[in-house]
Amino acid sequence: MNNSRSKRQIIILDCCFSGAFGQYLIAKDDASIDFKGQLGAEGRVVLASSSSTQYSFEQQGDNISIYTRYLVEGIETQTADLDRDGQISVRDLHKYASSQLEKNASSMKPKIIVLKDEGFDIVISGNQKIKPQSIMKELCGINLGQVRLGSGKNIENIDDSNLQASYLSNFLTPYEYFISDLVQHLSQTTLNNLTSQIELVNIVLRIIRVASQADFAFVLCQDDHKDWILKASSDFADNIDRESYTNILNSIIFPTISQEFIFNPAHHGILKLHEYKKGIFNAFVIIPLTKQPKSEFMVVCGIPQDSHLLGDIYGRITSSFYQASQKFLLNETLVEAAIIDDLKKDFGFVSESLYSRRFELFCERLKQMVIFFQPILHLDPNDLCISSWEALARDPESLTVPSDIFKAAELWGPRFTIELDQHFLRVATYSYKQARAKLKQNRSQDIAPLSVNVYPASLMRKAYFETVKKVIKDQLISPRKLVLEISEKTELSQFEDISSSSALKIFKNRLVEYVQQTKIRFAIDDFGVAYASISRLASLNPSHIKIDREILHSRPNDMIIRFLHELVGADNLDPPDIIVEGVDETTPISLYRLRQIGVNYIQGYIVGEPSSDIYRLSPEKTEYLRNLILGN
Amino acid sequence: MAKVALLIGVSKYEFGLNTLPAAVKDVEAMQRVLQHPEMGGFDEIKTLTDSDAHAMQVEIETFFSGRKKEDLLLLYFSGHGIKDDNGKLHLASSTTKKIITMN
Repeated sequence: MNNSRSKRQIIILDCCFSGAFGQYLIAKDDASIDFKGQLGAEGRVVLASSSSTQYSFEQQGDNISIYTRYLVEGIETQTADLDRDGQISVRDLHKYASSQLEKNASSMKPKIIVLKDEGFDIVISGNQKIKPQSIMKELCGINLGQVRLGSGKNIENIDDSNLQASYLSNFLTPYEYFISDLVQHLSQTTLNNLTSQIELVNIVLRIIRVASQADFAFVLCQDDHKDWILKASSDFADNIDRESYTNILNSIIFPTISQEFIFNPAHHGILKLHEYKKGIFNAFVIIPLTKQPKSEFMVVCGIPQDSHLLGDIYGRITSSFYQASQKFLLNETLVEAAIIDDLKKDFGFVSESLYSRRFELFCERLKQMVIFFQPILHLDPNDLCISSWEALARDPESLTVPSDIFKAAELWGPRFTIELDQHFLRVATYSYKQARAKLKQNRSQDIAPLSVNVYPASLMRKAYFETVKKVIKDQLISPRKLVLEISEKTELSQFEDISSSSALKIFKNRLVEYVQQTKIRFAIDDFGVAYASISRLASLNPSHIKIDREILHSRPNDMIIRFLHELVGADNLDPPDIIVEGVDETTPISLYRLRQIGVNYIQGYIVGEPSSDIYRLSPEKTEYLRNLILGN
Repeated sequence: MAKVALLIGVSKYEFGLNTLPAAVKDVEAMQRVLQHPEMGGFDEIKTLTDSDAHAMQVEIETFFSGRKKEDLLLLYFSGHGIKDDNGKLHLASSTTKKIITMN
C-alpha cells in the first residue's frame, strides 16, 4: 500500500490482539505496537481500536464490535460531527469513538495516526489535550483530517470533554470565583419564617462584604421625600475604625456622588479610592440598583486597592446577586442562574465555564419540572366530552408556569431549547401514562390524545426526532395519541441561515417526515399572535389549530374565527380542528356563540384548570357546560 | 475523485484463535453507513469475509494499486491482529498459517 498513488488513505483496524498462534508468535497486548512506524505514511490516517486481549472474549451474540459500533453510530446519527462543520472528519470520528468508549468505562483506548511526512509524528489519542507543537503538524496533515466521511447537520450533543483545545481567555473568568463564592455563602444560609425583608437584605449585604473582602456594605434608598436613607447594611469586618469610616463617607464619598453619576447606563458602578491609612488605599464601590422613583444604590467599602474584583463586572454581578437573592429568597441555584443570565444579557456572551455551569443549572431545574394537564372540550351538546389534554410545565413548589425555564431557553438558544423540549416530551408522556394508570384508563379507545409543545427549531434537530421515536418505542404513548403543538412564539427561520420562504419549505418537509415515520400529528399553537401567519397555516396543514386567547378579547373576534374556519376549510378534505384557547367566565364571547360560528373545541378554565391528574367530566360540570352551549 | 472502500472481516480461524462472530457483522454495518448516499457516500465498496491469506493479500494489493492521487481509499479490518517477534503487525486471515504483513 505504500506504493499506492492515493494520498488520501484511511485505514481502520478493529483488532483483537490475541496470541496462541504457534510457537513463533507471542501473545501480546498491543501497547508496544509501533503503528506509526509500520503504517504511517504521507496522506494516510490510521484508526486503531487497540482493544485489549480480554475484550475479545467478552464479545458475544449478535453484537458488532464495540469500537466499530461507535464508528457506525457516529456516522449514522451524525453525532460525531463534533466540530460542527457539517462534515464528519476522520478526526471527528476518532474523537467520538474515544469519548463514547470512555463514557462506557471501557478500557479500550483507540488511536489515530496521521503522518504528513517523515519526521512528523502526529499521534493524538483520545484523552490528550492538543499539544501546541502538534497543532502545526496537525494542520499540515489537514487533507486527511477533513476527509469527508459523512455529512452532519447541526451539532446535537456538544460534549465539551471532546474539545481538545482550550478557550480564549474571557474577561469574565477572573470573576468566576467571586460568583461561586457568593453562591457558596448563600447555600450555607437558611431562612426561617420570621426573617423580615430587611433582615434578608442585611444577610445579602453581609455575603457581598465577605466575598468581596470588604470592610462593610450598605444600601441607600430614597424615601417619599426624595431624601436618601439607609435601607440596610452588612456587619463590619474585624478591626475597622468605624468612626473614621463615617467621617470619610460624610466628608469625601457622599459629597462627590450624584444621581446622574451613579445611574448612568454606561457602567455598572463607580469607584473612589481613598487613602485609608498612610500608603494604604481602599476602594469605595458605588453600584446602582434601582432607578427612580425608588432609587437605590449600594456602597461597598474598603475593598483592597489591588483587588482583582475592581472592574465593571463586579458591579454587574453584585447588583444581580442583590436583586436575585431577594427575588428567589436566597435559593442559591436560581440566584446563580440569574447572575449568569444577567451577564449574558449585558455582555452578549460569557466564559465557557459559566456557559457550561448555566447549562448544568438549567438541566437541574428541568429535572424538577412537573407536568399538569388541561382538558380540551368537544363543544358538542350531544357528545360533550374531554377530547384531548394539553401537557403543561409547572414549577414543583409554586405549581405555576416555570417561566424562568422558558426565558432561559430563549435567552441561551438552541442547546437549551432542545434540551427543554426533549425533557418536556419525555416527562409529559411519562406523566400522562402514570395519570392514565391512576384513572385505570387502559383501553385504547378511552385514551384521549395528548398535546405537547415544541419549539419549531427543535423539530429540525435529529435529537428531538429520536426522542419522539423513543417515547413511542418505550410505549409511553401511542403515536396516534401524540400531538406536537408547534409554538409560534419564536421565529421559524432562526435555525438556518436561509431565507424565510425556503425555511418554511424545509420545515414543512420535516413535518412530513415526522408524520410518515412516526404517524404523530401536529398542531399550530398561538394562532393570531407573533409568527403564526396565515401563509404558514395554509402551507403546513396541521391537524389542529389553536386560536390564542388574545383573539377572544379583540373585536371582532367572531369574524376572525369564522374567517379562519373558512380559510382552513376551503379545498381541504381533512380540515384541521380549531381549538379556541383561554375560554373562561370573563370571555366576551359565549359558548353558544362559539358553537354557532363553528368552533368545535375549546380549552380554558371554564372547562377545567390544569391539574396533575386527568379525569372525566363530572355530571354537574357536563350539565353546566351543556346549558352554556345551548344558550339556556 | 473516487471514494472506494475495502472492508475485511475475519470471524473464523483455524489456528487456535478464538472465533470473532462480530467481525463479519462489523463489515456489514460499516458497509451500510459508508454506502448510504447521505452518510458515507462511497462509490465502490468491496467486502471480504473469512478469506484465506492469499485472497486477502491479492485484494489488498489490488485495492491500493492503480489509484489516482486524489482518490479516497478506506481499508477496514475487523479481526485478530498479531505481533511477531520483530514487533511487526500482521492481520490474521482465516485459513492459513501465513499472515498478511502490513507494509
